Amino acid sequence: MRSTILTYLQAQTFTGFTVSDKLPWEDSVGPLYQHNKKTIYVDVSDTEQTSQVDTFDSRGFVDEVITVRVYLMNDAKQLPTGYDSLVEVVKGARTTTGTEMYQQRTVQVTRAYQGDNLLTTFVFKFKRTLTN
Amino acid sequence: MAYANPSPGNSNAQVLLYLNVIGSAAPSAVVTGDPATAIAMGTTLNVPALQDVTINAANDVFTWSQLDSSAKLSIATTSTNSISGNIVVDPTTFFGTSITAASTTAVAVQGLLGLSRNKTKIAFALRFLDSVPDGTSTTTNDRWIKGLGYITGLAPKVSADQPVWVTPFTITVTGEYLIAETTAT
Repeated sequence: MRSTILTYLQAQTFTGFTVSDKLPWEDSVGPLYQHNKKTIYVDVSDTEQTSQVDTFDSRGFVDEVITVRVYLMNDAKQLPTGYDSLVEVVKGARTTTGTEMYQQRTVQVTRAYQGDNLLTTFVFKFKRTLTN
Repeated sequence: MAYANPSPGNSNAQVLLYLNVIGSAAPSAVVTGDPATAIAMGTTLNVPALQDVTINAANDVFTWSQLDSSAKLSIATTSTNSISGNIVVDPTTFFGTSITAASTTAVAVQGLLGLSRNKTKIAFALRFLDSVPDGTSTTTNDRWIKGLGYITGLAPKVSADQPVWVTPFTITVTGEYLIAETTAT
């Protein structure tokens, strides 16, 4: 799922922003997006399965939710030009090609100040049902 | 004391529900006596993906009062028996192998919906307990609840939040329950 979102973002045109194919790993100073501002990073996905219906013969089904986080950091003193439109475009990744088999596709956008930086986090969740 | 534990996931111990038609369809269950005193299930339909099962045995009681008694008196009359539960719909066993099957065809051909639509009289056997729930049972001392009845109460449901068909079902029982150690008697 990370590759699906990354492919979508790399196909977009962002004025003043770039998309990295690297993971947002951390060194002793901080995560990579803190070093490279105005660069979008897509993290690896998390998967959670929860029981939906159990049966005696193990033929029930489970819900699977795949979560992908996307990070962007910029200088908070002045909001970069095109920030709002960038957020809208990134949000569109939830319905990109390759997500059709998921019955529920959502994204939450949160913002947090870290010193004089603004961190924007996109949390994509894709839910589908798997039969045993 | 040992508790009855159906061990979900263990095919040798879990709750099983077998169905078969009776009468002219072959292979059918062989029923002895009227009311039934023995039921040999024969080649059955094993109802898959059972979520839960409830055995209902509700005795009706007639109650009256007498002037010489300060308490009501009662006597048991007849019981209303049924087996109900919920399943995840398996297309093969739900629709049967022929969508135009008549009530005289075999149980696997009719499927659950066919049995309901055709008002087919069925024999059922529910494994309540495997005497040795580790898969080594030789069937003696198992406890099967058997009887005759009709499939009713199908109400398949699906939703966007739960996009797999599930349905309740009821076996409305005609006559008494039989308790047996195997499916053959």
